[in-house]
Amino acid sequence: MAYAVSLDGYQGPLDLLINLIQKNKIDICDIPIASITNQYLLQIRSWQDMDMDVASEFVVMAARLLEIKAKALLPKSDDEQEDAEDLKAKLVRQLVEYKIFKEISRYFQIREQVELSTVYRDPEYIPQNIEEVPLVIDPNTLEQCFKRLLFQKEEELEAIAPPQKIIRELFNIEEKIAEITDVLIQAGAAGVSFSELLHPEISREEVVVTLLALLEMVKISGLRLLQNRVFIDFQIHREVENDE
Amino acid sequence: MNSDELAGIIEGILFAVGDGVSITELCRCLDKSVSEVQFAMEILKQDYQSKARGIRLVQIKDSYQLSTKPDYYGYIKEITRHQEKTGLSRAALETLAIIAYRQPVTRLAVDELRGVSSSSAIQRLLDRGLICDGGRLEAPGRPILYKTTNAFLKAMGFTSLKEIPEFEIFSQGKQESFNLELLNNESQNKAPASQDLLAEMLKKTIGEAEILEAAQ
Repeated sequence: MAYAVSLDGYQGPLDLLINLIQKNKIDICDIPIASITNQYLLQIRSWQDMDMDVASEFVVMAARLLEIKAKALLPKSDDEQEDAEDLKAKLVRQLVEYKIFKEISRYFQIREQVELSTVYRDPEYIPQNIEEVPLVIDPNTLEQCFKRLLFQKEEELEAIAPPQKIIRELFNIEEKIAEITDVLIQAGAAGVSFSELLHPEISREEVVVTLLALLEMVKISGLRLLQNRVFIDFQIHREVENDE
Repeated sequence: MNSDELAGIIEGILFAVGDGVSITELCRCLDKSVSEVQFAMEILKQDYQSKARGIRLVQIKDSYQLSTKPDYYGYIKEITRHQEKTGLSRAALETLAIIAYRQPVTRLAVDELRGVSSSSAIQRLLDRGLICDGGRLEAPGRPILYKTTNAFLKAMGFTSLKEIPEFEIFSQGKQESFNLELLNNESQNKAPASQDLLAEMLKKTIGEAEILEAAQ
C-alpha cells in the first residue's frame, strides 16, 4: 500500500545537493562529482524504495550529474561543445546562486516572523456622504454624435459589397509608433492632438492602427492623453521623465 | 496649533482610518507643509518608542499606519485568542527572495534559479498580494514580469525597497552577523538616530522662531 512521506523537506534537487555538500563538509566550488553523484542517487533510490514518486526535477539532476561524471571519465574530443569541467562549472554557479537566495529567504523568514506578531486595526466601516455628480450631457454634443453614427452607418452599408480582392496590410503598429514618436518629438512640449495624426484621405484601418499604436505607447513609454470632455479630440503629450 | 497638538491630531486620524494614510493626504487635510507633518510624525514616533506605549508607527513608502508592537504580541494574543497567522512556506519564501532581488523577473527565470517549478509558489504570492504583474518581457510569448508590492514591504517590515540589504551582504556570507544584528539592535539603533533628528529639527524651529521674534 502506498502512503505519503514528504521528501525530507527538500525544496528541489539544488536544495538536496547543497544539503549533501554541507553534510560532507566540502567546498561548494570543489565538489567531488563521483562521490556526490553516488550519494545523490542513493537518496533518490531510498525514496523510490519507500514507494514514492520522485519529482522529475530530481531525476533530471541525476542525469546531469551522471553526464558530468561520464564525461570526466571519457577522453576529451574536440567536437564536443561542453566538456565535463564546463558542465561542472555551470552546476557550481547554479548552486552558489541558489544558496545565496536560500540565505535571503531565511532572512526574510526572520523578518516575516517579527511582522506576523503585530496586529493592525481593520478600517472601521464609516458610512460616507456620497455626493451625487449630475451627468451633464450637452444636447448639441449628443446630436453631433448621433449624426456621426448615422453617417458612419451609411458608409458601412456602402462598404458591404463583397470585396473583390484582399488588401495587403499596409500599416503596422511598430511603424506607426516610430511615426508618432517623430511627430511628438517635433511637437515638443505642446504635444499634438489626435486629429493632427490623421490626414483627410486616411483609411479606417490606418485610424485603428494609429489608435492601437497610441495605446501601446501609453503602456510601454508613458504617454499622457488629455481630453477635456467626452466625444471630442484629445491631446497627446510625452510624459516628462521623472525619477522616483 | 503647535507640533504636539499636530502629532495628536495625526494619531487620531491614523487610529480612525486604520488603513495607511499618505503624507500628502495628511498635508492636504491639515493644511500643513510636508516638513511640519514630518516633524509631528517624528514626535509621534519618539513617543511610541517608549515601553509605556503598545503601539508603533509603521511607515511604508510615504504612508503611515498604526500597529501593535511585536514585543507585546504574546499578551495581545492571550485576550484576542485569534488564530495564529501562518508564515510563508519555504518554497514561497525562496521565490519571493528571488523576485525581490531580481525584479522585474519572469517565472522561467525563477524556475531556473530554484531548479524546480515555482508556479504554485508564485500563485500563492500573487494571492497574498505580495507580488504583482509588472509588465511583459519583450520576448516570444510576452511572459509576465513579476515585481514586489507594498504588501511585501509591510509583510517584511521594510519602509521601502531601498531598505532591503544589498545582495553582496548575502553573497559574501556576512548575513550571520547581520541577522543577529537586525534582531537585537533594530530598536536600539533607530532610537538615537531619530532623537538626533528631532533635536536638529527642534533647533531649526527654535531658530526660525528667534528670527521671527527679531523681525518683530
